[in-house]
Amino acid sequence: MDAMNLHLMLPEIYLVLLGLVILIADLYLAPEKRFNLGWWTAGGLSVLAVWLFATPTPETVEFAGFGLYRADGFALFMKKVFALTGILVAVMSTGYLKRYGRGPGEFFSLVIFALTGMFMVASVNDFMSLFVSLELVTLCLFILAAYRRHDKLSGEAGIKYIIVGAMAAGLMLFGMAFIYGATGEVRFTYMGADGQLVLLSQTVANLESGWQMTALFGFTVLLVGLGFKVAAVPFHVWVPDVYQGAPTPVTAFLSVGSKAAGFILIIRVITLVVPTIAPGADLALVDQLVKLFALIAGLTLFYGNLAAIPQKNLKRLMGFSSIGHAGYLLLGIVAVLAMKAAGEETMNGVSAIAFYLFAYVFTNMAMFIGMVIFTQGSEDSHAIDDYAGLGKRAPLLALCMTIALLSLAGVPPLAGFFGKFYLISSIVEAARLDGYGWLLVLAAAGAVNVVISMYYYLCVVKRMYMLEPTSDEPIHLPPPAKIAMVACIVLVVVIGIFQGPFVQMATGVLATLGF
Amino acid sequence: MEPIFHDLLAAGGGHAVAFYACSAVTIAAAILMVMKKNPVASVMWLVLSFIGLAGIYVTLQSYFIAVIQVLVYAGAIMVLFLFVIMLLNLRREDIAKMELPKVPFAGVIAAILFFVSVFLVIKASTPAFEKPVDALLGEPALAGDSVRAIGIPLFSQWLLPFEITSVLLLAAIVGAVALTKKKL
Amino acid sequence: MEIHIAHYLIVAGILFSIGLVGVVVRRNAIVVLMCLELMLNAANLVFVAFARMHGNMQGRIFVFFAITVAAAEAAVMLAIIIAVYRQRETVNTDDMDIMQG
Repeated sequence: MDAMNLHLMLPEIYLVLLGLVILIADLYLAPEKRFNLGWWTAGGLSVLAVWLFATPTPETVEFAGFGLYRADGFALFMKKVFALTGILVAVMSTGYLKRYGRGPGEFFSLVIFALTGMFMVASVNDFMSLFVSLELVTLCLFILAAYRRHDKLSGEAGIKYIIVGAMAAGLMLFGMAFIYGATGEVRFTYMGADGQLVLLSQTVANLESGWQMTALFGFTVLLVGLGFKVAAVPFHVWVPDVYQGAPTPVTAFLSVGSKAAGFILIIRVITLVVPTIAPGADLALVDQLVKLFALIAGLTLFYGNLAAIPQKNLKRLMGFSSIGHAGYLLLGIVAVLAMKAAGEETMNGVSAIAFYLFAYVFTNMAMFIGMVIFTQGSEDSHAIDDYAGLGKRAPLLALCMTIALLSLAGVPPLAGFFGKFYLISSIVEAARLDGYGWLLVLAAAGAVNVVISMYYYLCVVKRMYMLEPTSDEPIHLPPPAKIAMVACIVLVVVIGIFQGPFVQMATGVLATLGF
Repeated sequence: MEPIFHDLLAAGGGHAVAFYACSAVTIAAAILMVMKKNPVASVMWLVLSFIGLAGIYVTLQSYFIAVIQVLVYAGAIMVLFLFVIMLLNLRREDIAKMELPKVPFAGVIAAILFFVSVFLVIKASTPAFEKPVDALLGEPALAGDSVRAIGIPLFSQWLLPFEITSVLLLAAIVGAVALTKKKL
Repeated sequence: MEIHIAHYLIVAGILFSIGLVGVVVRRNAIVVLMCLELMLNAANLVFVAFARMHGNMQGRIFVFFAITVAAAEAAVMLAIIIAVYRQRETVNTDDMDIMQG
């Protein structure tokens, strides 16, 4: 543990170098060639993705950076998700930036730096790296959200996002300070003076009751801060405005990357810092956290899906739908916490979250690529009424967006359905535990919300097919974006029908999740 | 510098007096910062608040952090704020708009709740906190807050977050240029 | 008159709450940013106080990173404020209400 082990960090080093290459190449390219940097980015990230998919899942946890960086199955899995997200964002941004054209070099290098932060987030093993990496991600996203600086919506989105983001950072820092105060340590696992591996969760479990209050307070405030990042109710207020105002590819990046980063951190904190209660031991801390999270998950589910119904703007609707999806992901967190409170180390909630995120990347990205293609030439506004008659104007585009919407709603046999299915079954499994029967209510809420979300997604589909087009302007599908979108849709269907290998990949992360 | 502060703090009651004085300045200045309508005045009060905070750090024997606090916060960052305010030529917020809308009440309530919860937590764990700070003065393990004591771990054990910070600063520079440069 | 760690924590709690009130009450984006800085500083104070109590360096080193991040965030936010000001000649957050729904 006491070594830098740079070879484990090669993906991150590669990303930083790629970002620098893009930044410098931007200076030397002719202005009209600069937009090709998007292809450079997509190519560079594809190499990285192939590299990551070729890496075998590690069988034991390896540490780098003096024990501050962990290379395990979960980190590798999430890095694959991030690399794919990065490629798709690069593909859809290239066409977008050509139209709204400015600063492609800066744009793509910021995307890559944000990805670097997400990669580091996936591997954190201490609160300092956690804070700094997460701030790297959000800082890049602040800038990207405000990137269309001549557009009022984009500027407004930037200001709102940074105010909320900085407030969340303050809360997280305050929470971490109290956890540090209770334990005297910011590393999740480390070598003690006697050469023994020390787990922070063990330290927390052994605290006196007064200090446990301090730690509980720290956890609550830290998780509230993370709640802002994953858009959980009541910390969701920024989501609709930022989703609507940010440039569409950035919205896509936010909805997948930023949310996944937040969930990774919640999972890391819960698996590595929150103690598992030994049978018979009395530790109210974890039980309190289960109740808190169950409440937040229920509110998030209902708020996101109910508030999406009256929306008139597709980007805004996607914002509310993203809140709803955060609610589903929180179900997995509740399941893991309940297991911990009952003294069991089964982490099916985590693999359900991993599977869900993997499916969510393709579904959501297909949707956003479709939206970017749709708006070419016109303003970057997405009134749902504009999509009327899309089935006649561009059958392929309409078909792809329909499948994506159905998958988001959770229609079998698409990927989204099984994502929701595994999350709900993880919560049902947790409900079998003594004293946690009430979690079934949460599972029922999850099922009810599938129906609610079906309604508003299908309303969009209905507009595409049942209504007459408002304009006859043909929609040109640029080949790269078309290929990316169709590939995503094919994957959404394939993941839904042949889940075996993907479920295996998601459950593979569990083996090395502990210390 | 350290010995001077050290003797001063160790003198009977010196520690308490320094703590209360610095805290009073910090909190009063922070309240004034929020209340002042003129942003320039707000910045000035915030500078004072940060200097008071540096004083609090001194009572905690964190001399180096106190210096950084004054140099970086009260110095560099606040100059940046002043510079932007002057650049945009902001004078006063629209005075006609000063009646409070609904949201702030919710905010004030949230803040009060937050403070009360901090207070309750501290009260609940009081036995754990009952370690007078001035009793710790001069303990050898604690006396070290020299640059060396911070620098060595920063560049060995904590090198990784340090490197991430460098990417973060680069991203901030690129972003600030991309957002404000006239022609790009 | 003995000063305990608890005293420092209460000061930090007060500062954090003042910052929180400021963020919600004030409408000038630059003042909101100052309030955010105040919140980060309150967290720093907790770190330094606990570092003093535990007698280890981690809390102090954390404060360095927190200061760096705060500086970067301030720079970016001021850049966004300048960009927004150029579009619409105001930094009043109440005027930022194009999007509603």
